[in-house]
Amino acid sequence: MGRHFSVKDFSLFSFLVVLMIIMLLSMYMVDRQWSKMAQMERLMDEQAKDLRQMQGMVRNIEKDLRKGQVVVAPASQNTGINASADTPLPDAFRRAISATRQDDYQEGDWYVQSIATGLKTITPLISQDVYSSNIQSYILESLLTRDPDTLEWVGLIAKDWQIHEDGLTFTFNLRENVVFSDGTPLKAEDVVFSYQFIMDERIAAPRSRAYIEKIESVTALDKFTVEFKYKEPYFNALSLAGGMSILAKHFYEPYLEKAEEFNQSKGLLLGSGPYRLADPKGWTPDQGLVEVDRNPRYWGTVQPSFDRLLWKVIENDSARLTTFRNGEIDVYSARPREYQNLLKDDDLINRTQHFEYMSPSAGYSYIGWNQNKSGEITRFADRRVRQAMTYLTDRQRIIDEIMLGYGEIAISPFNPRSNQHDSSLKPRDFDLKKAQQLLAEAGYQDTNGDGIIEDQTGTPFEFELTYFQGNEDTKRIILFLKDLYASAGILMKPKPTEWSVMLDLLGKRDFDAISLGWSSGIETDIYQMFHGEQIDNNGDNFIHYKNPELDELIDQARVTVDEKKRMPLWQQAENIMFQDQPYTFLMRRKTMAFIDNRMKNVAITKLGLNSSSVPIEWYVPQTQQKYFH
Amino acid sequence: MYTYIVRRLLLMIPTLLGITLVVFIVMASAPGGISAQSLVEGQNLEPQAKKALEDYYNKLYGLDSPAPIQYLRWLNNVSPVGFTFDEAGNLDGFSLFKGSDLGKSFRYGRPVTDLIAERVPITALLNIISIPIIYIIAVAIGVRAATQRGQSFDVGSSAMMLGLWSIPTMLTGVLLIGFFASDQYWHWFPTSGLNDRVALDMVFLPHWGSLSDILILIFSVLFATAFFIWMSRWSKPYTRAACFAVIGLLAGFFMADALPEKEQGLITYLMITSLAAALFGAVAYAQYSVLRVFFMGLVGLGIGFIVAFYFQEGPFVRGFLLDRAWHLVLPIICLTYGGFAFLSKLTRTAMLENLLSDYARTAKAKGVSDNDVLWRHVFRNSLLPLITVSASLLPSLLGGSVIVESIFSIDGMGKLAVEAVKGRDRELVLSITLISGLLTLLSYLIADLCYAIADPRVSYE
Amino acid sequence: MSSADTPTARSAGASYGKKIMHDVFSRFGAKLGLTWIAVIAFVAVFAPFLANSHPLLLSINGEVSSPALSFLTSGDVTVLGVFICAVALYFLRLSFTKNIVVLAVVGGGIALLSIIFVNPPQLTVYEQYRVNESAANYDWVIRAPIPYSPKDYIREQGDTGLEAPLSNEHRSHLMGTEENGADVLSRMIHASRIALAIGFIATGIALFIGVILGGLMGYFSGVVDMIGMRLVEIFEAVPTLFLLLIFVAFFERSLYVMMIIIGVTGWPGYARYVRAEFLRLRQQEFVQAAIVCGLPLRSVLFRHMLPNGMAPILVAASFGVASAILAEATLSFLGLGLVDNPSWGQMLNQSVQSSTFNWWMAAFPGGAIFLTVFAYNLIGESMRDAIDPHLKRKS
Repeated sequence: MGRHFSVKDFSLFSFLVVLMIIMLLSMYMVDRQWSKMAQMERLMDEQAKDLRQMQGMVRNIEKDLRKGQVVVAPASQNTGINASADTPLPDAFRRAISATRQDDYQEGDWYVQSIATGLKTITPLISQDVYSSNIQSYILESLLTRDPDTLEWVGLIAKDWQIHEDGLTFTFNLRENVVFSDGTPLKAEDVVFSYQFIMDERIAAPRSRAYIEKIESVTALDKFTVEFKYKEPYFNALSLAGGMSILAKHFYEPYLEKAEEFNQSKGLLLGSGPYRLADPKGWTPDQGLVEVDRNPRYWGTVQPSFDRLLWKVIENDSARLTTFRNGEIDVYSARPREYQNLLKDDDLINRTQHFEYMSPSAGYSYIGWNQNKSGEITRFADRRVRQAMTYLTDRQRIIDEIMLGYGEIAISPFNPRSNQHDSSLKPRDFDLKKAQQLLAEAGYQDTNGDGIIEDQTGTPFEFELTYFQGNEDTKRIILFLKDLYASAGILMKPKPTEWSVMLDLLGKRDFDAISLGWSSGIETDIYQMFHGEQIDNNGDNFIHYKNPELDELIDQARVTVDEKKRMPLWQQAENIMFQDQPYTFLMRRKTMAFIDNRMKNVAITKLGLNSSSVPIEWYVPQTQQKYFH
Repeated sequence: MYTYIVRRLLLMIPTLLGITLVVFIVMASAPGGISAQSLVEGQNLEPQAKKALEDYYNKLYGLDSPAPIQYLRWLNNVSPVGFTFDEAGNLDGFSLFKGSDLGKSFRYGRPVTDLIAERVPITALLNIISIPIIYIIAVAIGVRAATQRGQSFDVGSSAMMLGLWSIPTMLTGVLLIGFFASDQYWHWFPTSGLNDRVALDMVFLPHWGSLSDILILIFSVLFATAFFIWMSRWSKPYTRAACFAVIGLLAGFFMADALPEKEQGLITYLMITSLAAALFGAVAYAQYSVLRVFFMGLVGLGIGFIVAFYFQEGPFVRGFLLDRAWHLVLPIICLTYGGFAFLSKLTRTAMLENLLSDYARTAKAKGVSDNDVLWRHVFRNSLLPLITVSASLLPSLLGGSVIVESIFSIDGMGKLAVEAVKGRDRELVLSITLISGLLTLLSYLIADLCYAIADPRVSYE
Repeated sequence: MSSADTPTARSAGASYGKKIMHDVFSRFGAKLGLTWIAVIAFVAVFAPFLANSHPLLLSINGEVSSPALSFLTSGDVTVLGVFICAVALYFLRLSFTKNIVVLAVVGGGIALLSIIFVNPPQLTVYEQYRVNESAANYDWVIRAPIPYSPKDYIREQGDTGLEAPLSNEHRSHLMGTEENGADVLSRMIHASRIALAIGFIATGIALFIGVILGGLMGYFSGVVDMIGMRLVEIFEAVPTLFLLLIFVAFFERSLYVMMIIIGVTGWPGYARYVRAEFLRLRQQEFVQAAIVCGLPLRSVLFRHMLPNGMAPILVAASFGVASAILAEATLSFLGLGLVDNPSWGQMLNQSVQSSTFNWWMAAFPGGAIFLTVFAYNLIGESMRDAIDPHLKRKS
């Protein structure tokens, strides 16, 4: 036996192993330092470029001064410096400026939010979810923006605008100092390009196109003036023109040739906003995170307060709460029961501020009753059946028990606080007798004693209710409704589905009843969902609802530009929908949010919480800043 | 020997083919199968745009051809030897050095090789750290149990190992996170990920503020560890147990104190302190000196660190390395306990077999010392089943990583696999299958080779 | 270990099999395991009578009715029938194969009959019993020990949701309630059926495939062996969890699909054992004798060789049932399990879903999974200790 494995051997062996591990670790460390240095080099290159530009401009000013031409006009040659005394402060920045005037205002720190579902893409026009549009709102800008207090339109990229008498033409004068985040100035041709890009059939943006289609033409009158011309009067015309995000022509135009590459891209995002992606072409969903940092070339009057904005993708509900509790994200929106439990947590209350409010853009949830499935008229085509289902849906109990009171019954698609709503309408309360009466009138009774009611032909009243399986609250509501309907002899079979499958079913109109929600705005246009024309053509009237009277009212309202004449039309439309019940409108939910205490200047405006206002109104005082750079 | 290796490597190819074929058949026969349909659906597009996007995907990934052709095309892409195609997709020629192209992921839009190259090191990190831990603990427990057959240590550890093996990984993960990584109970460990966001910008090694801090650290750690190791070597078991149980009582008290207000109650205090005292006392009482010394030394180390941190004055920067290590503690616990429970039982069985063999009896009769008989003769022969099992250890760790990575939100291969499957990402699923199959077969091969090295009787000629 | 103990020699004293069984179950560990499994089996069979919102007996105005009986489904009836048959067979002491055959026939018959004749009403309103009882409409009521069904969400009380055990003054929930208000204990009782079913049937399928393939491989070596070994390697090398994920994600999620899939991925282990045993047994004289006598192949394989090689397979089967239960729990935990019916893994998943850590959702279903797996492992351990000849010698 030649080989002895003694203690000496063992210690030598372990020493070698430790040495190897140390070498590996130091290799890793050096590699990290290298990539960090490369990053810094890149930043310095950018700054050097900016410096050179500024030097050139200063030299030009010097030359002009020597020649005796005193430069008074502020517009043409400054980039990012505050506007001179001549041009008034842009209204859009009014609130942000008052935030900077607070005593403890300090730029810096990060604002970390969470996203509940994985993002597929953040490329504008291709992305379809609300999270991507939130991210894009910090990077892309539009001509106008809405003032959170007065709800009036104020100019952002546009200095001012004129509406011609016929109400069909809008002329916008752009500010001359707007630049994109890569230094290229923003001109009228970018606005024109944005319009053409959306309208190009090769780009897969059918939703946006359906709205922008109303614009007949967009022309650049000169370098900084744009004219929008509409085909016919449209009540939302200014909003449409002013709200279009301006895309950079030099960045996006090459993609017109390679349209499919654009359509399946994950992150092509470049704009003139206060923040920018470090790599405007290279974001991919597998990072699980979206990070935008301060745009060093931002043209606006006020620089944004946060150095960096992050959105972390956290799909698991409890992980999201734990991350909030650990202080790794700064905002958390809670579900009703959670909210009440969290209110009892003293530690959390001391660390955070909480808000509960009804956001005006809060949508409503509903159950849509399909009136025509695969060419056959369904039982829901009978108005009495639909009204009976509404009587059976005990919405007050849903709000009290499942939403714990954080919601209100929805009577119609219109915001109850807006003028579209007829306040004399009262919601139908739960009434089993009335429902049974209506069903009996429609010909339903229990003929064979098995507990389920049947119609004239003997078919039992059973149907499938399709819903998105990922939402816990929806699931609870559906299970509750199942038991409620059972008390009237109706068998409801819940059908949980994946989101993509559900969109597919919607497209094919292949469902009995479906539970979904729509978001609202300040003024809701119901054309897309309830007009008879939208049943085919990929419209959103997937319940096959057609009422000629309603159609006429909608058409009329949409071309009435005068608000005083338009609102009564909407109210009449609302009355019709109240009688017809194409959907059983469920409820509008309150938002309950917890926000970390270090965020200052949090306020509720007419648009809701000012958490996603751009320009940014929040800031963190110097002493409480957590993150650096 | 070399012909054997070459033969095994060649035999791997049909097996790999078979694996990918099975997976491909499953995917293709699913309702919806693999077609551009499933990629384009759910995007609510108008018909022409949908058609255009479908055509694009068909051209890019070849999804319109029938399933066997798709499989053959994928095979061709993957194998380093195969047909080459030019830009328009026409047959160009046959090349021996084509290089393998794993394709592009549908969901992420990036080449699969990039994705996997980013994720493999993380899973590898988890597994490479787990494997030595598993083996060391398994050998320590298994050998002792075999030599003390039928006595308290054997019975106790057998039952405990079986129990540990039966606890599902996800239950452990959930409990660990719920109790040790959340605000409600103890918040000693981070909840998820491999690093805090801030740590990514930190320096690599930890930094202390002042020299005195480092000195305090070194001094207290050395002192405490030395003290406890000395205590563990006292000869009277009862005194040892009593002293250490008192330490346990104090430790339990501090632990219960660290709970948030809501959870503190008389019962909690009593429960935790008595459990801690009992555990510490039992360990100190144990006859098994290796375990005892190790555990008490570890406790000493911990106490040294805690004392040092309590007394430090200057700022302390955690550093990337420590941050990563801190994040790794809970996932590694979840990964290793099942492995070492299973392996320790295996070691015990193998050792028992060999302890009763003739050659062991002969050696003892010859006068060889007990220690030598155990380690130089019996243990070396018991290594063989351990090595055979290690072949299946790596694949089971890869499987275990799937759950652990999902629970702890670690972006490794396991999580990638789950997401790929949920997203029906054909390229990604096939590539991951290929790579894990390759790794499994390679580990079988390495296990067989180690077997040949360890046992001179085995020859593969 | 005498290989002469063929089935035909069973009449002479205790056979090898019976001796081993006796050995196994005299050990403490196996007794513990068996007790737990018996408890779970009992609970699974009598679930409709143990945990039900429908009262067992109720009397309105003198009329006695049994809602629990009238709401039994065909599945319930079949399981009850098979159980009674099994108990009866235990007392009749027939041979092993005869037992299996009788059970299968009776089981199939009852299943068929119950599918045709047992039609419980489709609509159930659980609240009516409690509402009627508090309105004193009943003369008397006898309820099940746990008066909640797994899908009874206790609507008439309104505001229900996750509640800790025994925290509610009006109702007693021994293990608390889950997210929608249903009683956890009742859901666990009904979920035990799924756990046991998956354990047995999946392992049964795996055993079936494994034994046949392994036997063929071991008996005819050569080409059959080589192809078979490649197949075994392929199925072993595919990471099981991954293949399960792919199956479940691509096909729909139903109990039967899961059982088949877990079975199909588990057979290689058994095939290896059977192959090794058959390779060894092939050389034995009794087998040679059987072949020479001209007995058909299936008789040689399954009546002569298999009973002698069963021992390691049974050990592996016991561990296999444990791992099948674990696999189902893992899939449910990852969100790919059954949607509607309660299962232990899915309940464990709920403990992570909601934002506060609800310990009773993790402890009780997790504990149930742990105990069941532990029980099977104990039985497997004891079997292994009893069978292994080396360990029989006292040192």
